[in-house]
Amino acid sequence: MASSFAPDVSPPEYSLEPLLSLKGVSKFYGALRALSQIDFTIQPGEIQALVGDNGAGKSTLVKIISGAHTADEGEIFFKGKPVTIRSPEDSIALGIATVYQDLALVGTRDVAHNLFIGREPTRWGMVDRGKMVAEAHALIDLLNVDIPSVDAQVGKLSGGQRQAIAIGRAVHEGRSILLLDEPTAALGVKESHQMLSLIETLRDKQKAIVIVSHNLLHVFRIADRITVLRGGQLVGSRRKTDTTADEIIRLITGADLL
Amino acid sequence: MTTDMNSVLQGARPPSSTSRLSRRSWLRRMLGRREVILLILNIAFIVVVSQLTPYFLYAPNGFANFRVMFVGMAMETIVLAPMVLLLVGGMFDLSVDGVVNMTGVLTGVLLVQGVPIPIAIVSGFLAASAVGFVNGFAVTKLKMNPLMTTLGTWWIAQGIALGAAQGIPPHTFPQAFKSLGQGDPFGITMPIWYAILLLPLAIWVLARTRFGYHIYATGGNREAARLHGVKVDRVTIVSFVLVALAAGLAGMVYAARLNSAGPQTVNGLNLRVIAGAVIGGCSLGGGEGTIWGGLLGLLFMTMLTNASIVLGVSPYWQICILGIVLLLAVGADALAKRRVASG
Ligand SMILES: Nc1ncnc2c1ncn2[C@@H]1O[C@H](COP(=O)(O)OP(=O)(O)OP(=O)(O)O)[C@@H](O)[C@H]1O
Ligand SMILES: [Mg+2]
Repeated sequence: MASSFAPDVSPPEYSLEPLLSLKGVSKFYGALRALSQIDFTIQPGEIQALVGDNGAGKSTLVKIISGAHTADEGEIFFKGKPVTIRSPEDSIALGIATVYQDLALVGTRDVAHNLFIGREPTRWGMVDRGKMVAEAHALIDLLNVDIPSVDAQVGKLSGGQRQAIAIGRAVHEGRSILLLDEPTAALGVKESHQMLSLIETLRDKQKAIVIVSHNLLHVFRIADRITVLRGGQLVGSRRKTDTTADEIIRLITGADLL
Repeated sequence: MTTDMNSVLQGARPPSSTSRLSRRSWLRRMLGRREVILLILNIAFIVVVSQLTPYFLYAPNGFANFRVMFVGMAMETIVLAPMVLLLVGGMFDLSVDGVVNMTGVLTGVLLVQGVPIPIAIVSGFLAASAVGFVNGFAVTKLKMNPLMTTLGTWWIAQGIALGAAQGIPPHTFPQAFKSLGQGDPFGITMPIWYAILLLPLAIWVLARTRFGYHIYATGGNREAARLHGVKVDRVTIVSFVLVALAAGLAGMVYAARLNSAGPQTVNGLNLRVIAGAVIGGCSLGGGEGTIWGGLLGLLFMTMLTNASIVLGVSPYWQICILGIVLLLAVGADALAKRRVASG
């Protein structure tokens, strides 16, 4: 019954080289082993869902790729070349953009600045506020979200609006990989579907999107591939066309529910 | 701009209602700004107190009282400018008094030993910035508590000042050095010049440059700023060094003005500057505040003290009044925060 699933990855029919791959990555928080010996790949053009129960290690995996945390063991390859990701700057330099589960917004700043923190456009040594505001408007239009004003303080916006800003930022920033840690968690039903539609429109041959979600309906709607973590281990990765919701649930819980 | 255009073209929304709404909220936002409130308060204060006594504003000769008050305040704004940057960046520095006194004494000792003026000044700045760097390094890389760290470096710097002076403050400096504090090019005395040069620079850095934007982001949410590639440790260390350099400059200018560098020339300047900044809207949690606000807060405190003296209020009550004003400012802040209930 407690059959351990051997890391069981569907044979890649992808002819392309992975955009990013992790080999034998582990992460410890003190004595707690949050990730153990993870082999994980991200293919160009795919939307990959990352699922698993609370505490399975999804956010930890996202944070290792985004440079928020560093791996204690293992190697990372970007387009086949070994890379080190020791800080968020390293990850951003690879064109990886991340929406964190807690959104990582600065509540005391306005919408325009939050969309550009860390890469504020400058002109003559000064921040080009006009350009920032213009691009912020364009982004808000693209996302089709209801933000009162680009001057609004982010701390005073609703959860959904804040989430939209965090995603807008990542859309604008991510040249190669978009990591979305529960991007629909704070959204209503209609807004969730808008967000999923948006993510689908972002599908791009060059880029890849990794989305963490607890909502299997959402996952089955947009993902090409579903990867399951359980207790810090990668227990399976399936193409959507080769699996069922039942199988994914079995992988998540580790138990035969049927 | 494009969005406005689109909605006008499509006739989706009547543009007049939105612009009227935004104009009203603009007015409310202006009146809600700490700087505007303080400006009105300061003007009202001048009007009221000058009704109570002529000595506050123009008697007995010209604006003498005001002029003296402004020169004293100008000395404090040298430290205020970078202190606002540090506070907005979410940090705190208690070591300023120690650094002012230490730099004054060290520079003074070198001068009376005949060291050339430029070398004495550069040495003073080096000593000051060393303290700033230690503060910044300890707080960021060693994750030490800023309050306790800078309390420690305050005592160390103050101890160095006392030790180097050895009971007899260095005095009688070369004329060229004295003119750095006593000179008055174009009829304006040196402290005012330093304020005229430093304040606009600080306003520009904080409000317009990328470094300023990064200070706001770091103070507002340090981890978020870090995750978006802001070099938060560098922001903090540079801010601490700027405060220390300004404290060093103040120390040398005091020495030049007094023609003597006492190891206890300043005592309480640090806390007055921080209190002024907080009254001016700098939150101790970081992420909020402006140089303008800090300046108006410091002006209010300075005028309050000055008016108390002119009106003959006892020194005990003077300091009580300052304390009450500070509590009111912090209390108003906490109330506003709770009402917004920001997350
Ligand atoms: N900063 C941290 N320090 C210590 N332990 C941590 C830290 N972050 C996560 N953990 C632990 O690591 C494990 C994996 O956490 P992680 O946040 O990656 O899970 P998750 O799959 O994202 O869960 P959720 O669905 O609840 O977001 C959990 O046991 C968690 O308690
Ligand atoms: Mg998580």
